Amino acid sequence: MPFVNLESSDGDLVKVDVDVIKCSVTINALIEHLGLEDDNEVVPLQNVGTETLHKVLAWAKHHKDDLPSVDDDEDDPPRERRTDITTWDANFIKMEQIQLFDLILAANYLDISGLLDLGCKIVADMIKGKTADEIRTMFNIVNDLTPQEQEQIRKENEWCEEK
Amino acid sequence: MDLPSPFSQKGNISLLSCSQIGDESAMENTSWTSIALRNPLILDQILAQLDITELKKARLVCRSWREIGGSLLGKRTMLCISKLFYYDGCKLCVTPVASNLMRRITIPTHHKFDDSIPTRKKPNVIIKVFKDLAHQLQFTREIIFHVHQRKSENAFITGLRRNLKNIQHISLQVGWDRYKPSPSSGVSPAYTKNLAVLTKLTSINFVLGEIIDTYPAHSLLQFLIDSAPNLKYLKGRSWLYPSLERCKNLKMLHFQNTVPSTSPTDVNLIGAIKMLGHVKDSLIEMVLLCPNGRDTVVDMSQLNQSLDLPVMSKLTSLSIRPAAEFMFHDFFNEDYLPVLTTVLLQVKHTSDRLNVSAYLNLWKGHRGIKYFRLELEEEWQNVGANVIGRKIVRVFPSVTKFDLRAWLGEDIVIQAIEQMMTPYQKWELEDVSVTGDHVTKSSVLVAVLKNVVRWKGAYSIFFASAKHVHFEDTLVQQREFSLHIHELISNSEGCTGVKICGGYNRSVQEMLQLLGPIFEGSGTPIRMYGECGSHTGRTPCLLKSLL
Repeated sequence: MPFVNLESSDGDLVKVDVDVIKCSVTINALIEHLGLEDDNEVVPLQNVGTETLHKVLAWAKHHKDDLPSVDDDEDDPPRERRTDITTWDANFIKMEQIQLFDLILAANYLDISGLLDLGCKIVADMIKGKTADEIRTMFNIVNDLTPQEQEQIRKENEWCEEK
Repeated sequence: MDLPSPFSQKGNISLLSCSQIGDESAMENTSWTSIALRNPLILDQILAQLDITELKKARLVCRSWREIGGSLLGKRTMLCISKLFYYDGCKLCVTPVASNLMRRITIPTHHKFDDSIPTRKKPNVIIKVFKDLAHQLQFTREIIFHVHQRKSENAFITGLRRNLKNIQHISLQVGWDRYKPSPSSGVSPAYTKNLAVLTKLTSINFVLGEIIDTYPAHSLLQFLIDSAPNLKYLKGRSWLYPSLERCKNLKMLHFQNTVPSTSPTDVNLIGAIKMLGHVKDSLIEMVLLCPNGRDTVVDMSQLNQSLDLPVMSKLTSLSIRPAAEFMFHDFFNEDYLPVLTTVLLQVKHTSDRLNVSAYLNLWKGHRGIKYFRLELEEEWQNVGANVIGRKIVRVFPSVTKFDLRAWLGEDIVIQAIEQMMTPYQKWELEDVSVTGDHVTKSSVLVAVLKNVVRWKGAYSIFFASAKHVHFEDTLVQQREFSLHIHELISNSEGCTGVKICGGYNRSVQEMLQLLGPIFEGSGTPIRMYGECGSHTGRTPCLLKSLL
């Protein structure tokens, strides 16, 4: 079975079954491009720390036999997306906020849509039911909107009707 | 799910150095979330999970959230454009909005305009929309416009010429006061110059108010159709059949032939056939409708003419409401509809001359039809439903999926239900859905169930039946319902789902609370849906406590 060596940003090497990491479009493209036949070949992942990499791999291993997801039709306006999170995923994603965002960044960098989707769903769940102020505090976001701009947003929101 | 407290990350600050993500400020607590949230792709994916109320709230977090949230909101909502306008005492003023909210816009009827705007100034708002917002209209993909005056219609057409080049969907609702009777007014000046080709326009919805009966209203529709060579979807309601000669890509046509108030109610078969001829090689789905609630007249001389019938080479789905209005001779057969698989016929009580039975005589047997939908409107019991049923079964012998929707209101008799449903025992059905509307007696529920079960019984050896029975707008009283409850339960065997939803009845709640557990305990698939308040029978709210 073919393997690939991934090097985390901490310099740690992790040997991974290609079949497991094929969910990553980034790595898949690299393998196809470079034709990694030599088992000693190393793929450096400058944006993924060791701990996060192990998390990513745990997720990828569990989902290795999932069917590839169908891309959304661009012409179709996106509606609120609602798919249930499995129990395994729910347990997997229980982590500190700091790690969660690390994982999301890694999923985005490695282009793993299922994992990115899961992480984003969890963050969205954290947002739900909170005021803008509470959201800012939770994520340490600076409010760069002037009171006039906020008033304008309120007006715009009111004029946008669900149809 | 237990999520970590937002503030618990402080203890993990040492982890910061474990990753290369970040910059000089990485040691600051703020950067971890903001690096991810500053990435527009990630933020977009997060905000896309929110419902509209949450999304609107999220736009107030900061500027980048306003932008990305606005882009998502613009795709999922319609911006009511007249709200942007107000009157300051001497002139109309506009409040600009973010361009990404202009993606889908609606221009409503005048009474929804801002109260500050005097009535005489209201028509000017439409003109100002296309003038003052010209730049932002380039972002518009979808527009819903209630046309009420020629002035505003001309402004719209000018807007189409200049600014709405990226438009994909146009929905026009032409109101009754648009053309106050002036039959001599001729074609609106705006039509004298053709529109530039709107290559992105793929969908048109055109609804002409019933009272309008002058020519220009129809020509607006024709004008739009002629400028949309890539039109895929056309839903129209007008009193003339349009020419679809330039729509070589039309896939779906939904057309209601309405009736001008001053003309005799004439069904123009020749016009309909001509229209179909234009799209015979592209059309996949077609719905033909005639005006409701009026007696129409078919000029019988049309039927004797030899029409140039098109072979609808791609048409797979045909719906006709009501069926008896479209008496195309020699058309309803495998030669002219070679790939047709789905048929919907609506049966209404119409004049003797236009009966469904005679209509069905026009069909030669079609073995390709697998999915048949029948809608029996009020007073269907007067049209000989048994004879109709037998003809349907004979004409469409290969049906395996059957949806029956029947009005089962107060004056319906059990015998009529039985006679109506018996013929379909002959079909080798695999998938059945029955919907009863306006049911008032529980004996009717029982009668329908008994007959549905017979459908299965007749062919139980050949197939596994999946049956769904819905009863909507039920007015059945609790006491009367209880009388038949055991019979209902025993007859539901073999059905995979029976749903009963109440309509106007105030006692529905009580009924559900009383009867829900009885159904559940009996192991029957009967589930009770209910609703409180207004009559919205077709989208019942699910009472989860009973399920």
